[in-house]
Amino acid sequence: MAETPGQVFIKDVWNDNPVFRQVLGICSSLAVTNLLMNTLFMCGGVIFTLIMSNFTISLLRNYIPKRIRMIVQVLIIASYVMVVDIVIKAFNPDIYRFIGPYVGLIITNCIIMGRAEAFASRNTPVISMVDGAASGVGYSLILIAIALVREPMGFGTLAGVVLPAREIWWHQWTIMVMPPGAFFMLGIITWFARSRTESSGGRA
Amino acid sequence: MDTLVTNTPLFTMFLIFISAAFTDNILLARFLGMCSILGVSNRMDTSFGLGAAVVFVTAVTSMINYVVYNYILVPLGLEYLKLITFIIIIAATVQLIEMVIERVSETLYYSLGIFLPLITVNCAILGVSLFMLNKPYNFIDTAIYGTGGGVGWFIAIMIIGGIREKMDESKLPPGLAGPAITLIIIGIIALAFTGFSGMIKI
Amino acid sequence: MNKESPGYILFFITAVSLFFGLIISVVNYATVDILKKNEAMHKNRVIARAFMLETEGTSPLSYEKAVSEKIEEHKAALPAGERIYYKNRDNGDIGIIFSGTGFWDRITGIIVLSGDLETVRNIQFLEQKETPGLGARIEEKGFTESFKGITVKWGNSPAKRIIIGSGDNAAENRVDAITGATQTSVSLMNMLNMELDSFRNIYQVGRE
Repeated sequence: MAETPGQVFIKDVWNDNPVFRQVLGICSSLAVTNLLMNTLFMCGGVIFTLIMSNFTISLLRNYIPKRIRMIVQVLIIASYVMVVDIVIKAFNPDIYRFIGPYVGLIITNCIIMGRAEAFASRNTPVISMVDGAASGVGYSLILIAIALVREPMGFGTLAGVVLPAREIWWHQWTIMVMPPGAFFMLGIITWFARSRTESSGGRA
Repeated sequence: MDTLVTNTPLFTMFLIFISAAFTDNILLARFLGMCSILGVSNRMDTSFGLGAAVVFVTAVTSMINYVVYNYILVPLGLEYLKLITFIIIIAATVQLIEMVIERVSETLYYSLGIFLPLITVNCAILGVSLFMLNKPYNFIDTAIYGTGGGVGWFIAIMIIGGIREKMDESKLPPGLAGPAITLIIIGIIALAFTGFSGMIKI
Repeated sequence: MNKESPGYILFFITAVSLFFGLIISVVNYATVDILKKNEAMHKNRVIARAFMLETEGTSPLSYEKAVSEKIEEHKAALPAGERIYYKNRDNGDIGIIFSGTGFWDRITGIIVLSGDLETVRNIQFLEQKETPGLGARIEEKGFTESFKGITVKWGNSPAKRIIIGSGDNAAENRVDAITGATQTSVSLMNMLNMELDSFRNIYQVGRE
């Protein structure tokens, strides 16, 4: 695959976007996006894990036996997440209270495993890191877009800051706080994004 | 401190199964396990194959994880390793299934494609193992709970697959076909399932 | 060496597991002390807040000081095991630790009652892993404040002495549930009532 890092980056962020194109990483998209701060933490965690796991798996790609590749990939991914989990818990317990419940969701985030299988196991380390970073960024864009709708409608705040004149125009949309609201938002955003990529000549 | 409902053992087991499969449905009430459904559910036969695989993996891994947690991790004080241990056991089970499917049905193997390894990180399966830790179940109850959870996921993917097959996707606006409309459909079904919340407490 | 041979597979998986398992264990043990300190601080802070104690600031030491000065720990021995509860030396308020399964994971907290167990003074949470933005809102001021001053209706059936959510709005033993977080609210109500019920038995016993 003779693609430049730049091409890989742009492709992963939009044309091959993990969320609306490859349909990966959905569980966390639903759980986390009702609050913008939590979304940002989750995205940070996923980007970090993607870069590190893609790098490591790419380094080891010629040594991993085919029979156990999934186990090894999962082991590597889980180890990075656990180490970060323990470190944050020890050195910043207050931030940990935000993201503690999501640790399991980062380990099982299909994007990380998906990129490991599809890209890192067949490409060199450096470009695998680029792919990891780009997939993470693509994921983050969509999640932030959803959170920008769900938090104001569900809570009347943005990143915890109460929006101006909230008493006048805001009425709580509880459905936006609950997961079904995330389903609808993600569906709409996917619809929008796909119709854009299709009209500009992308694949169906 | 939590006490089990005092019913006859058979009725209790029935309740555990019903709550795991329906009222506490791992996909529709707990929103776990989405990725595979969105990717695969557009045909009934692949949905069936994937669903069956998930039922098997969930049932088997919940039992193994129960034993490993209670008889290895806890006595050695290694509870902090539970996430990584569970997920490795799940990965090993899925690897096994992949080998079996590859021998038994090549067509299924190719149509499932990347979604087979993705069962490994299916949050639903890990979720079932983690939830069972908080329930006052013994081994048999756990086996029923795990099977029920898997069956619930299977039912969900069959429902969604059926709806998608019936729905004439060629009549939808271009971007909407595929994952977008599926998400909206699941959202509506999930909304309906919130009516079941808390119905069976076991 | 053939990559696919059983021997290599076994070697590889063992080597990788040991390597990463070792890293996690090392990190875990390196931070065990810090974690213990954090936990102790957190517990003192929650107890101090629950009893609404005055503290000289927000450092771990000030919480520790306030708690050790004002709060005494009591143990009640029962056939089923020991139970700990806390009592404020100044005004006799009693703090009971409650714990149970919420929607996702364990919820643990402390509920403080007046010395005669009739009125609720405050409720604070030690640990919860509920859905952020939904169930996790039990920790928010709005929810915990709503518990201040409600009555515990000991006359009711054990499951209904404190009510969260359903029922008559004007009832004195009732607080609002959290919209969209029915499961968490119901679980919390059940665990509170269960804990209060078993506590009352100990408390009578303890006083005799």
